[in-house]
Order: sequence, then structure tokens, then C-alpha cells
Amino acid sequence: MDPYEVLGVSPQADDDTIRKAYLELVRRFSPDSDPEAFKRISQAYELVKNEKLRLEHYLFNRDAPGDTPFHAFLQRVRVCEKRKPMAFEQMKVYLRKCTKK
Amino acid sequence: MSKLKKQKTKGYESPKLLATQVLEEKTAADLDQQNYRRAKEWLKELCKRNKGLYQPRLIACYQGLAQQMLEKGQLHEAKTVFEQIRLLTGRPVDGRLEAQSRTLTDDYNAAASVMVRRYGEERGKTLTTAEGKSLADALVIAFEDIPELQENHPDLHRELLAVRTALEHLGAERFADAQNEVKEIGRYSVFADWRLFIKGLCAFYAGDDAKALEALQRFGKDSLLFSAARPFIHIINGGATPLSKDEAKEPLLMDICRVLHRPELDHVLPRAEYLWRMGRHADSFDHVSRMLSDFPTNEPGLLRTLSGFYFQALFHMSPNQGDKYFRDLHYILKKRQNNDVANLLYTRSRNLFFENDQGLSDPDLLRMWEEFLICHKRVAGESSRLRAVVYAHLGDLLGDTLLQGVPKGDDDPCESWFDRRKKKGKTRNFRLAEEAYEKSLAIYQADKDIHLKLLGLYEKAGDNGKRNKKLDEISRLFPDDKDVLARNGNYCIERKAYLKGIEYLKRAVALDPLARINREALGVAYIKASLHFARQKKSPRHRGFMKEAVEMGEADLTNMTLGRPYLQVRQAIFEWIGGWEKEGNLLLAEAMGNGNEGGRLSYFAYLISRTYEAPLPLISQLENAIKTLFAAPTPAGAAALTDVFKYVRLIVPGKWWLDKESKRLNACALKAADQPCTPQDAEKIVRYAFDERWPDPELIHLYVKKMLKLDPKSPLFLYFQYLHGKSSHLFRPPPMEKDLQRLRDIQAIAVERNERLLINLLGKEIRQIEEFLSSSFGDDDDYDSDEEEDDDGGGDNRKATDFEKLTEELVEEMDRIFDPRGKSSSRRKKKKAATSQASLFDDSECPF
Repeated sequence: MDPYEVLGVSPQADDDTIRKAYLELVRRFSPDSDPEAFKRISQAYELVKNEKLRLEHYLFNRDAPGDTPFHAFLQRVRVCEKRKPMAFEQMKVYLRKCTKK
Repeated sequence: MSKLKKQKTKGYESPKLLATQVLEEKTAADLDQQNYRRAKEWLKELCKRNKGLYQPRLIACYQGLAQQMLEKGQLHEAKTVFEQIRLLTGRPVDGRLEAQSRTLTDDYNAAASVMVRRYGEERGKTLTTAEGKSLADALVIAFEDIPELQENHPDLHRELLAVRTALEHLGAERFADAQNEVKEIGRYSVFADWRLFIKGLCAFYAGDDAKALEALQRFGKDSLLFSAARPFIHIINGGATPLSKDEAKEPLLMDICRVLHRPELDHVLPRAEYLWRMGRHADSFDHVSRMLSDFPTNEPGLLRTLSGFYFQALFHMSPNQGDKYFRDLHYILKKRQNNDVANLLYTRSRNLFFENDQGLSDPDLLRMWEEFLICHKRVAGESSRLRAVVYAHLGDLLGDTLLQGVPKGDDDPCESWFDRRKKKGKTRNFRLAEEAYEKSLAIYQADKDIHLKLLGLYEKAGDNGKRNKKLDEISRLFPDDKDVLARNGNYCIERKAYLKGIEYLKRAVALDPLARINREALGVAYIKASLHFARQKKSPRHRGFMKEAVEMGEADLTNMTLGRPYLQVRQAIFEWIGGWEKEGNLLLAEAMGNGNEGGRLSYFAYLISRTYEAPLPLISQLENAIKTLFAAPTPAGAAALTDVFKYVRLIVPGKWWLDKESKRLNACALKAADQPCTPQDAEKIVRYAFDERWPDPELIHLYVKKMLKLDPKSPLFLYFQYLHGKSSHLFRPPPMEKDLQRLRDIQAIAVERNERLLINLLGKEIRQIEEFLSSSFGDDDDYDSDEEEDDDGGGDNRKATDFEKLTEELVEEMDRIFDPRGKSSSRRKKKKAATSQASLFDDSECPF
């Protein structure tokens, strides 16, 4: 997964900003409360914690974010986006659409 | 009728000509297959013959047909069938069908009214589950008040309002309120599924996927909620939900896009996914880039993720697939010019994809990355740091060692130093690699790693002049860096500049007292310096260095490099070498007094006195002392001696007298085998035997058998038995299924006994054998062709050699990670220390 997305920072962010974001995240997702998230955050931080590592990641990273385009999309949503419910009107349209399947 | 006419032409008989019994049989068969269209034709004829008996069945058949048509969205045709039903019954059609047809025309309110009316008519009758669900679905999706419901069925109305309000709360992210609203809906209510759906969605949005999945997976396939829940289930499973054959995947993916608030992607990603899954990878990329104007991009967001996917997927494909995808991408991008970002991403992927290609020339490699730098400048402007990193990368590639099996440079400066002579190998292109590193340093001189890499390159090439010059430069640039200090110190020791070297190493240790490798390097430097001055008969200096070594030593009897008793023994031998026999004897006696457990210090003294070539009379004196050890051995004593022997064997490989010594040690361990033995001692002896170039099969057999007699289910000794069985064949046979099974059985016992290190070791071996077996089967064709060309069974030999290598690797791995006391780290440290001592003993072969 894109380490910047995991840390919620821009690829142009500097060392301090990245460290701050990292510390904030590990406070929220401690190894006890959410070990999987903690591991993901730590790994992401290790990849981009200084300028040289960021450049190396940009240049030489070979990891694909998923097995298929849709899988990559789902992985990104799962890791980087907060789930937000559909508004009531959207839900109405959605449920009505489901009756026609 | 037209269909029947067609059927007639195909040889179907007219219903009129068939007997009633035949017609009944045909009707039953068609109804079984849900072929209502044809069944109704037989039933019509039967009605003509006996209306009273067959008309209800004809009506039921029409209803089935109407239902089928509605499911397929054939509303117009369904209405014709409704008319037929009305003509036959004199009443409107069944309420469910009517409601369904209203739903199809988006008249949800009317559909709900029909269902309520029907519910009112049939009051008193118990609704079937399906009927109840249909009623609830129709009422909810109407999203409007139904006056009849409020008046006649207040209970239903109350529950409907609860569901609707809960959906409103859910949309506003008030999950607790949503759940509270539906709390009163009972298990047997027609709205029970809706309650479950809301509960599942609340859990989904709160991030409790397990709970969400449990709730959302409960709906039957024919229900509206089944379709509604599918995208959520798919998201939770990360796209891994199995899809039924008849399920159209694209609509599901579209729904997922909508559920995830990405409606702009609902016509892009499903198609792209389909093309990708069909193996049309480049078409998939083409589709996305045509549909999304900002794709590909380097800007943060989803499109960057997708760009990353399309440009990095080729690293995870088979070589043929990757090659094809790469060529197709090139073609697509060439067609669509002026997309600098796409070209940049493409160039980067191309470079990474081809840079290790054996056919690529070094100038081409340089040109490819320079092209990338030009592309990058065009897109993102000049970045000198990026340029420096690219050149450093080129230095790495071009400076890579060509000889197979030559270890690559290590992060550990001392280790690479001590192993320098072993690591010499031909670099891919020394001149270009040097140039690339220098270009990188010219752009960014403060990068210590690049300086060290260039230093490593000179080491590999054996260019001592350039290496020393570089080292001086690094020391000037990074005077307080512990890695540089340690490296510098070790170089000085190699040049016999002991004082300077020890000074550097002391500073490195002071900067990081916990860095064990530097402590050991300093210890080795003291020993080397002391030996050097002892040979020159300069007692104050030799004693001074050994005093410092003993001061920094440890009271640990297992560490033969820094352990204080071993340092004292060394000092005693140095005294002898210097000609101070009396002082040497005193020191030796003092060292032995510090704990000569199992005679290990005596044996250590004997072995290293031979290694350092101490005066022969004194060696004989030590030999006499150890003869008693070998005369009446115990397993514990033999185990202690194997520890010492293994250490000396590791640091001075290739000494002829060690082979002879090994035979004496084997005989001693064999002699002790009759006596009681602890598993730890037996393990040490067996490990020692396995580590020897020519393992003594009897020794292994005896101790393994002895331990298995005491504990027949000891997983470690069962594993040793397995290894012994494998290694005792002259030509080691390749592993087979039965080997795999045996290892699995041993692993199961290890799991029962919670022997974690052994579990991991066995797991690794099992995986390797599984891979070996699967690749052997996969390569059958290759083997066949090899055998055709080479009748001497080259394929089998290759298999055997592969396995031999595999077994050797595992024995090494076992030795590395599996400490006799279950502490792998100390084992590794010990081995590292022993390795770093090698140079110390090497010096004894070089005249000073």
C-alpha cells in the first residue's frame, strides 16, 4: 500500500510532518488496540521517514497495490478511507435498485 | 402459438393428438423444468377435456410464467399473462405478482398498497416466510406512508416507521440511534431481516467487519436484502467473495463503487476489472486511461493507487506475461503522445523491469536511467537528490559481483573487513560503477552510505590504493561516525598499525557501547596486537594490550572470543611464545582456576597453542594434560570438548591436524556413549558430528538412538534421525512425499511440546521440500528433454544435487538458529565472533 496514503500525508511532506503524522497514528492505533494497523503504519513510516528513503521508494518500489484493478481500489479504500454511509436519499435509490435484480 | 408452430415444424406432436396420460406426463416434466410456456399448452388441451380438474393447474402455471417474466423484467409480456389469469379466475392476479409488476414500473407506493390490501384480505391466514419478506420489502422501499396500513395494521406500521427512521439515522452516522430504533422488532416479525440488515450496516460503518459479515450473510438468495448486502460483503472480503456462476459481476462492482461514494468509477473499474481478469491487461489500462482524463498520475489519491497498480503489476507477472504487457503498454503510450506523467511512470517501470536482464549492455543501462532523469525533469523539475540516488543505484548495479556464490557486501563493517579476502570477485563493470558512485557523490557528498559503497567496490576489486585514499576521505568527512571508525580501525589492524587501529575501535565502542560487533573487533585487535608484540619479545606492550583485553572481557564461559578465562589462556600462550615460560605457566594456572568446566579450557589451551605455534615442549605439556580428559570421558565432557573444537575449526578451517583431532574427539564421544547423558549434551555431540565434513555415522546413530530410547517422541532427535537417514546415503536421494509426511509428523510433536524454534525450522524445511516437489513435477518436460540429450541421468543427478544443497543449507540453518539452549541470538553472536577471529589466526601463517 502507498505509505503516504497510510500515513495520510502528501508525498511532498517533509521529515517532520511525516514523523508527526506517524506519531499521531501510532497513538491512535497502538500495538495492543490494533496490531494490524500498527504494523502497517510502522512499515509505511520506515519506507518514507527521510528524504533518501522517500526517493528510493519513489524510484525502486515494485509493490503493486493489489492483484487486479478493483482489488487495488478496495485495498486503498480499506486502508486509507473512512467508511461513510450513504445519505438517506442515496440509500433509498440504492435499495429500490436492488429490487430489480 | 407461433412458438408451437415452430415446434410443430421441428417434429413436435399436436396436443390434440396426444392421450390425456401423455399430456399429463409432459405437463409434469415441463413444470419440473420450470418451462411454463410449454406446460401451459398441454394444460390448455387438458382443460378442454376436463375443465374442473385442470383449470386450477393452468392458473398456477400462468402465475409461474408471470413470475418468471417479472424476474426477467418482461413487464409487457407479464401483463398479457395477468389478463389471461383474470379471464380464467374472474379476479385480478395474485397480490405479490401485481406488486412486483408495480415495482418494475417504479410505482413503489402502489406496490406497497397492493401488498397491504392482500395482507388485509388474507388476515387470519399465517403468512409464509417469503410472503412476509415480500410484504416488508414492498413497505420499506415505498418510503411513504400507506394510510391503509396505519389504520388497519398499526403494529406493522410502527415497525415500518422504526426501519425507516433507523435508515435515516444510519445515513446521518447515528449508528447507536439506528440500532435502538429497530431493537423492538421481534425475531418473527416480517421486518426481522431489515433489523438484521441495519445491524450489519451499523457494524460495517463502525469497522466491526466480523459482526457485519455475520449479519449480512444471513439473507436468502431470492431476497432484496441479499442483493443489497452483496457489495458490503465484497468490500469486507477485500474482493475475495466467491461469485455464483449466474451472478453478473459488473453490476455488483458498480454497486460497490456507489456504496463507496465513487459513482464516477462505476463505468470504469468494472470493465477494467473484467478486461484484466480476461488477461487483456493492456486493454484494461487503455480503458481506464480513456475514461479517466487524470489517469495516470503522480498526485495523491485513488488515481495514483491505480497508476501504481498498472505500472507495477508487471513485476508480479510471469516473464512472458510481463513482456507482453510491457510491449502493449509501450504501443498504447506511443499512440497517445504528450502524456509526460505516463511516460515517466512507464520509463521507470521499464528500467526496473529490464535492469537485471542479462542481455542488457552497461551503456544501455546508463542510457535508460538517464532517459528517466530527463522525463522526471520534464514532469517535476530538477531534483539533484533524485539524480544522486539514481547514480548510486547504477553504481550498485554495475558494481555487483559477477561470481555466483560470492557473498555480497554486508552492512556489518567489521565482518566484511575480516572476510575481505573471501569476498573478492569480479564486478560487473568496475569503471562505470566507480563513475556512477562518483557522480552521485559529486551531487550529494554528505551521503555516507554511498562513500561506504564506493569503499566496498574498491575492496571487491582489491584496489588497496584507492580504498585507503577513500577511507581517509571518509574519516575526514565523518570523523565521529561509529561505522566509519570501526571500518577505519579494522583497516589499520590489517595494516598492522595496531595503536591507530585500536584507537579508532575504542572510539567506535565509546560511541555505541551496545554494538557487540565493535566490542568484539576491539577484543580481536587487542589479541592481534598482543600476539604481534609477544613475537617481537616486547613484553610491556604485549601485556598492556592483553590487560586491556581482559579488562573488557566477559565472565562468560561460552564466549571464546571475549570470555575472560579464554583471554587469560591466550595471554599465557603469548607469554610462552615470547619466551616467558614461568609467567605463562602462572597465568595458565590462574585461568584454569577460574573454572575449567569439563576440561574445556585445557582443550582450548592445547588447540590454540598449536594454532599459534607455541614452543613444542609446552604443547606436549598441554597434550599430556588433556590425555586424561580423553582417557575417561563422560558425555558432558565430550560435549564441552566439541564446543571448543567447533570454535577452533570455524576460525582456522583447513588445518590438517584438526582432521586428526576430530577423529580423536569422535573416539572420545563414542567411548562416553555408554554413560548416562542429558539431551543437551547429546544434542551438542550430534550437532558437532553433523557439522564435520565427514560426519561419523556411528556417533550420530548412537546418541540419537540413546536419546530416542529415553524419549521416543523427542521431536529434535526424531529430526536428527531423519537427517541422518538422508545423509547416510552415498547419493542423497531427492525428497519424496514420505519425507514430507515424516517431517510433518515430527512438526506435529514439536507443536504439542511447544518447541518453537524447531517448529519454525521444520516449517521452513517442509516448505522447501514442497516447493522442490512441485517444481520437480512442473519441470517434468524439461527433465524428459534433458534425459533425451544426456543418457547418463543428468536430470537425476541434478535433482540429487539440488537436494544435497537444500539439506546442507538446512543443516547450516539449523546450526544458525537452533541454539542448544534455545537461544538463537547468542548462538549467532558466538558464530560471528568466531568468524571475526579468523583473521587473527590467519596472521600466524604470515611472517611478520
